[in-house]
Amino acid sequence: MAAIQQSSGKIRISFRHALSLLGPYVQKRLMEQIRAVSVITLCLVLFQTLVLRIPIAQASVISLGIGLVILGLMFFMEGLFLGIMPLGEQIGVVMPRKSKLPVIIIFSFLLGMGATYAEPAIGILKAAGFAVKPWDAPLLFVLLNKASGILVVSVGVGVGVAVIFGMLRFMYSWSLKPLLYTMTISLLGLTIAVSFNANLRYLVGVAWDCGGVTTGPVTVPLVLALGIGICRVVGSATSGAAGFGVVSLASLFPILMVSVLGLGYVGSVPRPMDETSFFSATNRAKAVAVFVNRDDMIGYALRNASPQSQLALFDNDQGKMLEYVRSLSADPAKAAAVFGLVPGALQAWALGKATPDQRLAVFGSEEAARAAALQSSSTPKKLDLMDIFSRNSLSALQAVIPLSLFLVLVLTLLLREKLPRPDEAVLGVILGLVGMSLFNCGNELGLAKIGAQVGDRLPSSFKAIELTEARQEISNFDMSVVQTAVAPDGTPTKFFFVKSGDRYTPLPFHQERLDPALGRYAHVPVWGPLFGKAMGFWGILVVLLFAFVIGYGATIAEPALNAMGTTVEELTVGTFKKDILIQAVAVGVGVGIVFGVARLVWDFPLWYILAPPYVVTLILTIFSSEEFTNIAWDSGGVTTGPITVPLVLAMGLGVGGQLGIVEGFGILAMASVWPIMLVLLMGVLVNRSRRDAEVDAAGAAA
Amino acid sequence: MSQERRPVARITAIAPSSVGRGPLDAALRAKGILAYNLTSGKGVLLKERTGVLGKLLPGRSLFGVPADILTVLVDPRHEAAALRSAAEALSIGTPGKGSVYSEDLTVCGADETIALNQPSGGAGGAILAGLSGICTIVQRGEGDGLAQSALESGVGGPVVFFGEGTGLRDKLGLLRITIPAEKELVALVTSAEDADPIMDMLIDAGRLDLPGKGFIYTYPVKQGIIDPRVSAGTTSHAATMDQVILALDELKGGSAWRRHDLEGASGRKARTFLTGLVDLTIVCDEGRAGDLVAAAMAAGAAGATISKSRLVAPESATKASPARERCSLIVGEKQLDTIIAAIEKAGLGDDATHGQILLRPVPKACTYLGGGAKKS
Repeated sequence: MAAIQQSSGKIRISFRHALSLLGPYVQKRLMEQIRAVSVITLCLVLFQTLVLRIPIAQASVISLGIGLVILGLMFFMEGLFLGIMPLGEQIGVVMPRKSKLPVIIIFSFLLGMGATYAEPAIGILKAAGFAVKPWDAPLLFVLLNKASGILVVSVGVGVGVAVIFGMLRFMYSWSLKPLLYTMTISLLGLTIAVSFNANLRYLVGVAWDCGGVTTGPVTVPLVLALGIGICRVVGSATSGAAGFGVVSLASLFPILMVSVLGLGYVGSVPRPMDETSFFSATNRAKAVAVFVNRDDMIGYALRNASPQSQLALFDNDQGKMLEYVRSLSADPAKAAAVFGLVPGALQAWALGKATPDQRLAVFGSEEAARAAALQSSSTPKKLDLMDIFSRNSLSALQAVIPLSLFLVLVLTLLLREKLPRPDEAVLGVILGLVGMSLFNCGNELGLAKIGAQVGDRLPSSFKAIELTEARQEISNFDMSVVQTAVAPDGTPTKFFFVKSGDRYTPLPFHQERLDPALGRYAHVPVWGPLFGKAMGFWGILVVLLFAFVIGYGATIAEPALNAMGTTVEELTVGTFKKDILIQAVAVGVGVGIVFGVARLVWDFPLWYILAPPYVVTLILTIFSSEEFTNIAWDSGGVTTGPITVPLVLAMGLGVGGQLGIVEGFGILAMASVWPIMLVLLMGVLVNRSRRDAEVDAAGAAA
Repeated sequence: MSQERRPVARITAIAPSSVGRGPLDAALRAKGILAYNLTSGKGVLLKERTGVLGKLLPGRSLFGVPADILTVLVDPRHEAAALRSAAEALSIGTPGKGSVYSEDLTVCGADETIALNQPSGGAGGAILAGLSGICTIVQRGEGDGLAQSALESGVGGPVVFFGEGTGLRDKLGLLRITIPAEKELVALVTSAEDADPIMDMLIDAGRLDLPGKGFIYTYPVKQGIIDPRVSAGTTSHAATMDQVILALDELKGGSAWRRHDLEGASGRKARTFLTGLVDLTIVCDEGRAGDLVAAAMAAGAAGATISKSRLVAPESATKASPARERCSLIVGEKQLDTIIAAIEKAGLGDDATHGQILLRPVPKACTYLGGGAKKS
């Protein structure tokens, strides 16, 4: 032993010894993530099975997914702490001493832009805007579809500018508060002002949501570490917990950029109107402007609009429309232009959404349609695991590698510094990459999937919903099996028995569900309302309670918040505990999501629930110390990460879809402001107890 | 090639961060202290549990308050003046306002800050002599328990701060990541008579004589004002107990009168202590500690604890980076020259490092000794 100590050479470790070292190390980190993820998983499973009483579909795939989420989070967090954060901090420590101001500004801007591109939030926003109809909210539709590239650029510019301001702040020891006051007040003013414009009012939600979703699990820890590094060498009059604040700015600037973008576009789009007049000839030129081109518009209308509106598009001439559909069927190139490049998209549309006439136009004869219908119902959808893995690995690669490479190049080529502990850094980046791939896969297979299931069915607690995913199709349906039953008051209802396995189940018969041309009957089970009458108080209360639990549970598992909590605890030498921060933020997110969902249920303008909490938060900010202000506003930015966002969106889409809401944005914005408020409140309390501890001594002495 | 070793006095002040670093800096400047090192730490106090929890589980819990630990290097001639300057600038001498003390050290290598500090002195309160410092290095998360034990046995002013350990860990290749490097350091100062029993008590509390638990050592402190405060809470008398203690200290001219009877409790087993050691602290620019410690370890040092600190000095007066690292190595007196030579050879004085070495004697230390001393 003594000899080993004297030598500087490496100790050779046997394989068994290495395992005994790795064992407890892995176990500790694994347990940490299991604890973090278990809350949300248990909530989802128990809620679906006990409250909604619907069995979990694809339970084995979902368990696999949750296992992958846990493993992925474990690797990813370790990668952050070993590779990405030390790299950021090192650059922060060296850059202000070795580089001139313009270089730092350019670096900050590129970092902010790059981070936005590396972790594309546009996919999330598109998902949230899935239900947006061009006639309801033309401006929003344009920004999410045709102009989505420009939307991402403007968000990227917003984050870039925010990082510049954040770094300048550190270098010149500016307080964060004036920036917060001006930004928040002007944004709130803008929000309230545009609420009175029919087109712009729908933009408010997406603008505020952009602020939250831009800062992802790689960006946040990186920017934090960079700020902390910079604060270790610049600015003298700052507190010990300096280095925070960039994330909050990176949440506010994109809101401004998106609002400005919307103002720029508002002139070129039509006003919101009803569906048929939107597609009418008089509005044609303006309607086309909302889409990429004419083909795109027709394809969208055929897929999403009602038959009357489709007719309006063809000047109310049924023959003209059918002729057009027939020409699509004959010309695959044209069909691809209208329906997209997926093979068979036209046929799938014809069998699903199209009217019987349109279907006939596509297939030519009833027999061909019937054969195609049989074929499509007999080929079950397969879960393509390979596809999920390759897609998610690619997105993880995009998020981790370019940023890490950029940082390494800046450090070695621009700053001419050695990479500190290069082996750990490389291991960290690899772990981060593996972790993020596993986590993304697991999220798609597990958490997002069960989240979507619960979200879809959640409205069943307060209204009757159709369980479309439990839809059963009966081919070659023979009307003679339908029987008549009688209610106590004598009303006759029709039903029939269906045999599945050894069981015979009666199902209600609805004429409109039968497709006589294809001989196909579609049964869609109906569920709910589970608690009291439709739109009743108790049912909605259950939904709001669930919203809180989802927000709370998902936030506890968020990796960026975990990294931030660790950083805060480290910098305050344990006087500000990680767990307390995480709990405060999680409760805040829960409360915020309750308000967001309440807005969906009762459909009132977003600023009603956006302005009051922000005003309270600003007032609290005035009375808070600089240290807590920075930490609190940053925690508002980190909350909406890869776990919360899909779950909250699934729930928002589920509830919003069932209630026919135009857009489900704004929930994520609520999940940003409430944590800020709660952390500030906590800071005020902590400061008071600290002051008490000092005052009773100093006061008695005076 | 070895640089000369000069005596130097180091003043260490611990003050609650609520003072704010701006006012703190201004107050020190006014007293002629321009350059100092700043580390974030945590001051701890006991606090009566209140509320529902207090009713259910009465007792005292630990309450952490952010603290700044600042160290000032001055010429030995200015030692007393610097001590009084710092005490007055930070209004130390009131219970709960922190502690300040001075040590006699040896410095190797250039230090620009010593000449910058020309303290003007100040009115002093009760400055106690004959003190002894105890520093404990334990795994992250275990410092609070030790600090609480110290407070409960009546020792005021313990301060906790974070560090990173190297040693055995760095010889494992990449497997080193499986052993946590994060350490917690608990530093406290007590009267020299009390040092032995308190050290014993801390060894018992932290089970520091078991493998992998930690390391504890003492160091001589010349004189200082030590915060007697152990608990937060209001008083029902005209003066707090802390103030009564301070007044008695002043009257009795020392704290020997409140010597603790701790020997009886822990005198059962005879411990083997390490003696004749030296605390070798390298202070250098951030990022360089790894190389210097590696050189020291190649020359025979067992390991080091690295903590980050910040150099506050007028910008024009020093070339060193504000971000500094401080590596403390406990080495044997006989190894000292070889190790210092190795560190100097590794680039202690170069332009990327701006380092110096501070030496202080360690009369007594304790850790797990069975099967070879290990300090990771």
